[in-house]
Amino acid sequence: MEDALPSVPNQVLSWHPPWPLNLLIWGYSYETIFMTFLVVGLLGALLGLAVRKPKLVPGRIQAALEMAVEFLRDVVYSTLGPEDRRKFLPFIGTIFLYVWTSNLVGLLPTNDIFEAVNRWADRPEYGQNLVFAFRSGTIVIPGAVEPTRNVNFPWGLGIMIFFLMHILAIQRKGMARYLDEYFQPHLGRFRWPYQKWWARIAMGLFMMGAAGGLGYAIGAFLDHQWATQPHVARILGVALGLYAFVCCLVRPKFEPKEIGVPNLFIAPLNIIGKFAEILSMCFRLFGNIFGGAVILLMISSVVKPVLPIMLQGFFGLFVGTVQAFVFSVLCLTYTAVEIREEEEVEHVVTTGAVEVGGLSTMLGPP
Amino acid sequence: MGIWEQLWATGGQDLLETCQYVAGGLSVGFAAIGPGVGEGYTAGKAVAAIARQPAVAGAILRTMLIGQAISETSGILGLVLAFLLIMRDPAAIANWVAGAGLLASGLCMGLAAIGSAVGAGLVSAEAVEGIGRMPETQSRVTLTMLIGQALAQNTSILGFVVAMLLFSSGGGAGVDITDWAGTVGRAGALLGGGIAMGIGAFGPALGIGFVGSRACAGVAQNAKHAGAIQRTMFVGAAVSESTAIYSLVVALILYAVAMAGS
Repeated sequence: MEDALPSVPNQVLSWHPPWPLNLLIWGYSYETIFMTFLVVGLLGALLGLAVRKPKLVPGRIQAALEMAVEFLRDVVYSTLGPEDRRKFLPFIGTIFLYVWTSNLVGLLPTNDIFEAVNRWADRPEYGQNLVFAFRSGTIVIPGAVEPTRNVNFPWGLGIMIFFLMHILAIQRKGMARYLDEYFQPHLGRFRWPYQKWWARIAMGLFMMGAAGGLGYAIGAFLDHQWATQPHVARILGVALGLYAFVCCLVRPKFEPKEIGVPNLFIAPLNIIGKFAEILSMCFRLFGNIFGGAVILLMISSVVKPVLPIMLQGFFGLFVGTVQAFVFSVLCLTYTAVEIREEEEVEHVVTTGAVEVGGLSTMLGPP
Repeated sequence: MGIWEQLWATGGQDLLETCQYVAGGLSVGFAAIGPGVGEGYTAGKAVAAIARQPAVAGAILRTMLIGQAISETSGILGLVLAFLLIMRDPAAIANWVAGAGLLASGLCMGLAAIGSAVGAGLVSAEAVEGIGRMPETQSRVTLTMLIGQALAQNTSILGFVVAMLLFSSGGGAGVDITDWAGTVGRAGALLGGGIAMGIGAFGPALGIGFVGSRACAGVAQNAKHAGAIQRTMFVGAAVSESTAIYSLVVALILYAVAMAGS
């Protein structure tokens, strides 16, 4: 019966995604996914039990939850405008609770318990996994590790937040203003005489070149990657270019107003900056939790009794809580800055926040 | 047999193995500078603030500890990379490109950790001073401090990402340790990428630290306009961070150059 058990219970599945996907999906870890589902189940069960019968005079769990909600509400309400607050509070709260529970779930002592069970059952090669073998297969229950220790967990959250905030920004500002932000700071301002026919033709020719080049590049890329027909690039380029030209000629409602001269050289840096902010947000969470795990591993291989427990308290409880909060606050603030309207900035500059707070703080404390 | 003949007797494998240990030392050594300075500065300001307002000593102490824990992040990242470098199998370094990648990762992480830890320390120092002046603004100042410190750490996180990339570069397949033709330039490219990101992360992080520290002081003085101050801090920090993004771009280009042939 013992022989039927698998020799390597770790890494039940391994999947290496094909080319375009492997830029986003960096690996697969059975333990991480198991622990993620465990966290979702735990959180759902706990919160569901806590709010099942809400009372006017709250019990202990309900009071703790109300405190947490009030705390998060203060944070969200002081950052976002009145039309977004109510929508964002559940989102930010969910992210905070999810990441927080994920950071704390590593404190469960199941690792040691499973290891002891395996040692007692005389199969230490299973390490910290509990393996149940059946005739049709096996079930592997890994010991508790933080899912945030795997980079894919924060990265997945980061992809979601990235799409959320950019789609929201496009909805709020419109595509033109959204794209214009990538070309800031502007090189200057000028008034484009769009009502004149020659201006339309000039703009149309320029946009035809740009869109045609873009289409050709996309076609060439498709051709290179998946060996499509060689004329796909030319057809795409001509079609996009003509479409852009016609759009520039006949677009009816475009009031002539002062626009900024786009700074073409700054655009790649702005685009990379947008990715870098999400990247740093995700890797901050990952680096802290992973770093704590590595340090704990190194220390506990040298010193056994007390120090690892204290370190686990520091890295698991303290750093885990602080980093979960930082992650959700950064998510909130990046989104708030991204979906902010342009008028609001001018409002900020003119309402005296800068004169009153700025000048006196620049001059130093009195 | 002279010393050089002895060193090269194994085709330079002994010399190559020194790379990862030197890199581990560089990583944790440089990364220890910043957190020490930043956290000490915060602690000094906290002592002064408690001397000014002994009634809120608990709040000041709590804010100080949170701020110090966050400025410690870059030091922890350096320590983790040092552990990873020291614990890896020295015989697995395939060629000089891989060795240069390890050295570059240590340099990158170590240097990148200095500025952001000092910057984060500046932010938390102003935050504890602000709480000492205006204890009733504590929650808003703490929130601003967390955001400012996180912004100041962005560059060291970018350094960590580049360092992990360089750490796992592997030097390309099919290149032997004795192949000198074509590998020295690629080794130099990896080293250059590590230095670019490491040194490039220093200034922006310090600058964002200035932004965040002034923002904390401003929120403590004028808590009514905390939202406006935070937004201005965000925009200013993003502009200040742009030079670190230049460094990131150059480091990634150099990495691509080094890995292009393989």
